[in-house]
Amino acid sequence: MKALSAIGRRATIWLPYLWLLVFFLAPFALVAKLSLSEPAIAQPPYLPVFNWADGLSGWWADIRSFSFSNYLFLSEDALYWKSYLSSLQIAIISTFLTLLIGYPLAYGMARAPRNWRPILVMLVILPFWTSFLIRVYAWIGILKKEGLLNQFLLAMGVISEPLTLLNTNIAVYIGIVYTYLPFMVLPLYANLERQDQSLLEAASDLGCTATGAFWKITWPLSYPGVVAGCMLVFIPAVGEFVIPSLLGGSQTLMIGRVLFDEFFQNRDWPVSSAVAVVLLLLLSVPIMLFQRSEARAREAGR
Amino acid sequence: MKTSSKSVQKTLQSRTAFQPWNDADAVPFIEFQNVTKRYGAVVAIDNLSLSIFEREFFALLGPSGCGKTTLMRMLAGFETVTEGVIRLAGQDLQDVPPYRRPVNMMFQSYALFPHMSVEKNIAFGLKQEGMGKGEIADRVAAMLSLVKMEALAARKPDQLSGGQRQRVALARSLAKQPKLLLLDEPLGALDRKLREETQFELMDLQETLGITFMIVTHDQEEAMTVADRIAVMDTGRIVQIAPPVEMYEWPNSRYVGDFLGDINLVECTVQKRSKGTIFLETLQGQLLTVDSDVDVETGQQVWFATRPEKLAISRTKPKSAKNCMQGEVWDIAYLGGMTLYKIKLDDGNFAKVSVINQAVDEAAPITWEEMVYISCPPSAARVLTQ
Repeated sequence: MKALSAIGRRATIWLPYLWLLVFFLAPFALVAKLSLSEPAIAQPPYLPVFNWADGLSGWWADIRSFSFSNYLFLSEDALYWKSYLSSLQIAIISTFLTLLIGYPLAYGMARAPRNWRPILVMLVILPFWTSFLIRVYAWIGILKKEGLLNQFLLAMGVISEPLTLLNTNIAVYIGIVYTYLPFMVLPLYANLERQDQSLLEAASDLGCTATGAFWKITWPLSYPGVVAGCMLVFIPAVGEFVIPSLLGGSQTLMIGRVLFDEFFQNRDWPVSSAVAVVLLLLLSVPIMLFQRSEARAREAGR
Repeated sequence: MKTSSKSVQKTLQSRTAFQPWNDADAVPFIEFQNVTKRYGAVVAIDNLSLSIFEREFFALLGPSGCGKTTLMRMLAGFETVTEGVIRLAGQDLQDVPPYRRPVNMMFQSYALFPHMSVEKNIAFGLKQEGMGKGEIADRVAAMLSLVKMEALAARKPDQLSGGQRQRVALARSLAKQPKLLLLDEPLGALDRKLREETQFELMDLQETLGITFMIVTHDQEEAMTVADRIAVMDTGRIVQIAPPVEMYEWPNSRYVGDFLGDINLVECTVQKRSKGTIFLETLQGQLLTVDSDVDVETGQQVWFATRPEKLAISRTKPKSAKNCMQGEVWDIAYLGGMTLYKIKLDDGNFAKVSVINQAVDEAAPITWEEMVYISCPPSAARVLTQ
């Protein structure tokens, strides 16, 4: 009985690692292996560099024949560097915009009467009930030349000519901010709602105005929420593919789109795998920073 | 207050010299004038008037929901007044926001800023004032030594124990040298030993600094220990304001008597009243005498009240048969310093008697189911009219 429960305990510890191994590490290894092989007109469209059947002695020869030419290619062609940088730029700007809109929203929700809060949270989550693709498509209808937004602005007399919004970077920003807003609002709300209101009273008691108390107490205490929200928006936004391809124009360079084109249009699996591996390495930097800030927050919350 | 006889008032006065509330010329430092606070239809504070004097240690005592915290928060500026006026040093506080009041508060939860060190917490209010850096450092150092926390100045609040946090909160609220310090259940989170120690420290501190202290508490012992005067509150009103001794010895009502310590009550009617003595008759027809000059009429319904420690317990009937009742020992609680007896009287009511354990009577202690007599001299009993 005791031995059984010990096994059970060990299993619960290993289960998440097993999960990671099967659903993250193994696919990543496959992609990494692919990125080291040569493209070919074949089915599948690459020459496998590594063959399990080669046996122990053959594997070493396989490993020595790994080609990094795909990675070299990425560094040679300016398209890739530009795409990475432009993806980062778009992700950073839209994360900042999401924070700018999400923070007051979360703040308002956290300060709303207690019995309203569950309803407000539900309203934030509500868009998830419809397909992401459909919601992004709907923005085409809003942003296009004869779309709802232009009609409204023309009717209001704000503009005399319809604006070109669709197929520009502006449309991509709108799309990303709209789509990822809940990921920003929810962690911020969780943080702000948990903050002890008596801290603000104490600040006011010690001679601080309401604005002063916000910047000296509420804002610094909400850092963990800000970091969590920004990471949850930034990381998927860098690799975003659907929004730039539906709302963006030909000049909108994003690495997700490049990857898609390499994979499906060019059928160059090795290069697209190399693109994916580099993207992952790029993203692991902010992810690690995020983990560290989380750990620090947990330490402080003890 | 009227219950106390004049001669006793005098002895009380000589015991403690500081009694501005008995001085007709004294100007109150804090004045509540017909203050009412309503939350919708709920009345939290009901037409309350109260004067507190400079350098006084004033305690608001009452069960939760009696309005004591609301009263304090109105002084700090966190609650508005629905009707009436609050004055502090003659100034109407109505339009003064909390951050401009010369009042500081120590919060029940301490409300220390978790992202700031002990030092920064204490310096917070001084920085708001725009005080110079050197001066802030000096004041913070003085505050740290006042609460004996110099060694932990760089720690964050979550690295401190409950008692240490309490000290930091106290230092922070004193740093601005307020005219009035509000203490909202300041010792509630501390264990008993530490609480007792801190109570004495608070008293010393108040005496040294000469600041007016107002404490809110539901712990009657705490209020009695620290305060010059106590106000006992019930549902938004003050039932009695008095110094601790007067409050305990001459409660003005059953509510106060019961809230402050234990009290035995016997329902009676007034039979006769002569100079300085009131004769009562219980519902069973027994006669009781009380030395009192309370204003009562013959036939009025009153309560004969005794404190457990003022009753004597004996196996044989005491010689002076005044205020003597017979009963059976129902329960005994040995509390170390004293023993509490619960006696079932002949009329079916229970009375509590406490006996100091000066010497343990090994031979024949009074035990369960014994028939005993309890008695109380007329001078130690009270007549309560409400």
